Amino acid sequence: MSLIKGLRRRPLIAIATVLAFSVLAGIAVWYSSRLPAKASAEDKQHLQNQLRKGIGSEVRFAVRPEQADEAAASAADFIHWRSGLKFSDGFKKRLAKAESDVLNGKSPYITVDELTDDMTAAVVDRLATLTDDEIEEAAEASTDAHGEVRSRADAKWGVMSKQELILQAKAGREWSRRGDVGLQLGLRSMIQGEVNDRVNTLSTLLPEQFGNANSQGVTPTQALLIAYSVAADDPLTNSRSDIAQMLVQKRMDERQTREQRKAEKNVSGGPYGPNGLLHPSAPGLFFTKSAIDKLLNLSEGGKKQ
Amino acid sequence: MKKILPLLLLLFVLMLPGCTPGYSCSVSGLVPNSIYLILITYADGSTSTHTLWSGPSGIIIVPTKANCSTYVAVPLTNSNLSLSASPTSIYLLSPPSTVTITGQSFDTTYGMPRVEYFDGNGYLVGSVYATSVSGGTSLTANVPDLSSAYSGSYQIRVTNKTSQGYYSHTVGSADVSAYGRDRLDSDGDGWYDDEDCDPYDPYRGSYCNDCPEDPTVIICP
Repeated sequence: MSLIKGLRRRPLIAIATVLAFSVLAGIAVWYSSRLPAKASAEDKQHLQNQLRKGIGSEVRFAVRPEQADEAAASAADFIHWRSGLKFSDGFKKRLAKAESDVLNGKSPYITVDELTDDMTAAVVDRLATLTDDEIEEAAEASTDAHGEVRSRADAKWGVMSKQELILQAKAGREWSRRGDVGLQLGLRSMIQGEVNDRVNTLSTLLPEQFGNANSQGVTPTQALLIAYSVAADDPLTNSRSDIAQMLVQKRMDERQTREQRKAEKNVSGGPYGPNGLLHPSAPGLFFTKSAIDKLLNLSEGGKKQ
Repeated sequence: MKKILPLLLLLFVLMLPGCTPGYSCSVSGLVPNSIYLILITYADGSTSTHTLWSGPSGIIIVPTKANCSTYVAVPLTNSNLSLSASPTSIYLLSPPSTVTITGQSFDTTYGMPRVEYFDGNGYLVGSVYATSVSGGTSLTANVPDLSSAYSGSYQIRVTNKTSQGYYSHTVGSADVSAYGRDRLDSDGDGWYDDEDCDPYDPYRGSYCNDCPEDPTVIICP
């Protein structure tokens, strides 16, 4: 009870809750392996190489409308391999159509502000409709091997037990249902920071694909990848073989046996997403049909033209 | 401002009345840009371990669930040497009783080096301690139980025990191959029996997730 009273006195706690819930707010910090991305020129060069080997080479971005199908398929495959988040064929067709419409001028590019607004709206809406079961599942999926929920940013976001996270998430849900303005403003500010970090990094280090992101905006496929990156805390770096090697090394570091691995339920064994080995999260909670519709609607009709 | 907000938000969490507060242990004076094993002992006797990067400041702040009454910071080092094993090939149906590993930096000062076998996917297959070390360049160890191991490539990793009492100095690893017991996929579903939740049902794979028909997003490994 005192918790709820405390929440009522401090609306921003709900934001912290949601942000701690990496799915919804993307508590992400733009990290590359263990090194911060914003560092020396040498680190930037390193990050650029990692990005080129990851999203830069594994997603085949479209420059012409007829390449939209391939762009949508490769982006979906990229996300699926890394997080277990699988997009249906129907969704990929819609994404390809939206991509094609932008590239042939029928729909406008998605500006970074629009992407931020829509992600914020989607998160706030989603938070309000979370069921207890969904909260439980997401907390489970975001829990690491030590039974703790944390971001990779060392102590930046602290650590919570699964139960603490569930309590806080339920309290945050109540705030969202009441349409708290403080919640929306705080969330938008945070999501804006996360989106901007990614857009700035990608536009600087992958100018061929994202060079016009700040000035022109991004395509639906690019928007999806950025939203995924925020939601799953996936830096989009490294090739599959590099990540496979990192996972092998992580298993060795943790001295995990096959028996221990087999005892884990519903764990993909992938690097990101539910119980991800590099960073566990539950991005599926955010990527609902309505949330994705919000992203796609921008290019299907340009609601903010 | 955007950099400060997360911390402010976290402070709000910590200040909540009735809310279990978060804690952290600050470990300073570490060698910058190094990996440390932080072992924390809580007042109730429980422990937790964390492998963390010290960063350029040489400080590690460990988020914890309670006051950490005692902690130990152990630097994890890896000489990453390429070692050699003899024999280099192991017949799994009749493995040798011992393996000899040659290289350098094997150290018995604080205990016999640990010898661990990992399969090609990085899973630990067996762990033993050296039975003898000669001149820091050669060690002999019994072969662990490989009765559940399959044909394939393996890494034998050697780790020294250090002055702090932990196996925290990885010397390096040697490659060996094993043969004579191939992995089976009885139902032919692409998952080997040892990782298939139902080795005899081709419609059930590794993790038993039944994906729904065609939602926009489906989660399945």
